[in-house]
Amino acid sequence: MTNLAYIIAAYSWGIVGISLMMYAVRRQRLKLEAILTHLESAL
Amino acid sequence: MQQRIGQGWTQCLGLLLYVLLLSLWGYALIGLGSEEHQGDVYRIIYMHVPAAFAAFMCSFVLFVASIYGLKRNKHGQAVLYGRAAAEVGLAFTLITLVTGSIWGKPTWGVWWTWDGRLTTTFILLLLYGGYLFLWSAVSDPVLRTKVCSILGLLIFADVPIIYKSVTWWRTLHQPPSLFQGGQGLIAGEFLSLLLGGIAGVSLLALWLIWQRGINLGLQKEIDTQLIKKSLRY
Amino acid sequence: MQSQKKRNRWIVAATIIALTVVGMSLLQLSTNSVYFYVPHEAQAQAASLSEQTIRIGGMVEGGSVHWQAQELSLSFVLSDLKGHRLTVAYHGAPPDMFKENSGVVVEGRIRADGQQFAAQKLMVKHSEEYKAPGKDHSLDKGLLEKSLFGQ
Repeated sequence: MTNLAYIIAAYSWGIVGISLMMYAVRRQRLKLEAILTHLESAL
Repeated sequence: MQQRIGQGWTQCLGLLLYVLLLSLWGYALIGLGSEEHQGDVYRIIYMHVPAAFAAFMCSFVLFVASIYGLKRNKHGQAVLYGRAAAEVGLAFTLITLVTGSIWGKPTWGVWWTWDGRLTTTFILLLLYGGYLFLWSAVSDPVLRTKVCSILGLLIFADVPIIYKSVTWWRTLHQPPSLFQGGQGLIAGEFLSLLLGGIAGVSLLALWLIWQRGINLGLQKEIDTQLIKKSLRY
Repeated sequence: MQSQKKRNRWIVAATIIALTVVGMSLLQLSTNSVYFYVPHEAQAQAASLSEQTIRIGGMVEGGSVHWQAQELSLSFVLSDLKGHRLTVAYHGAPPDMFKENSGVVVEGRIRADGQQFAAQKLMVKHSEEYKAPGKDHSLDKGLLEKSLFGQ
């Protein structure tokens, strides 16, 4: 495949970027859920 | 709490879109043949163009949230979706610019040029960034909503300019290949895959805004509860 | 101090917005607000343009490319396919996709008589069509011409 390095670089950037966003949103959700559960059970 | 967070299937939806996109890109890299004028490097189109459309679509969500923010003048949940849209929009604009630059080097011969399309897209990046900075800079929630909502309208206004830039002005960037009135500028299989990519990434961007918006709402809820608790003592 | 931090962020935010506004207006004012000239325009104003770095967009005339590998010197004719031609000289290897009968935007200086152009940069301009490779390797010239020279 010609210009393979460019193709890989471009796809990596996009896929890693999107993956990071999905991971971040999920991780934050789990953290917030835990805090809320803790707060509500402490009432 | 379950009501606020939503059912588990909504989170699976995001994962499903993600997996579908990965397979689409896998096919774009391995299954598809090469292109007449650009050889193999044209395949970047399946990352670059969907990211651009997603960035545009984020500005529309931001627009709606900004209208809401200006009308009701409250720092409610809608405004949080606006902030989420700016974050996701910033990310996809950055992906658009970087993948575009990587595509430009082997095809145009340059990583960058200040033509109409590239410059207005770069401005979009600055605008999204400015929105987020403004958000953290203004402490008063009412003022923040107002100011950010106005910027949200500006961001939405930039998008048609970006889109039309290649038509209104002379640019290095190619004119539009899509939605040009049935001219068949993109050959069959290339086209369906591109449309699929655009739909997939746009839906994923919407899902990201949705989930991030919920997170921001939960964060606010937690802050409110903590304040309530500390006031009791 | 908390208030100092807030103030700083205000300044940064205001600067970003200001830069954006400046950028947008510069886009209008910069290089005569034309990203590239077409051959007949540049040649008509060659005397006054010869002092600045400008861009000209056009087609690489078939059969006109001369490449001397040893001296890294490239020359070709840039044309609008309607009779306006100028010779472009460039030092260095051309971009990968540079080829005859295709679009190019050159950046550099035009000679006062409008016949020669010393290029500092070559940028290949592509048409907006995407298709599977064909035996005749055809290029829809009409599309390329339209985006270079207008209707």
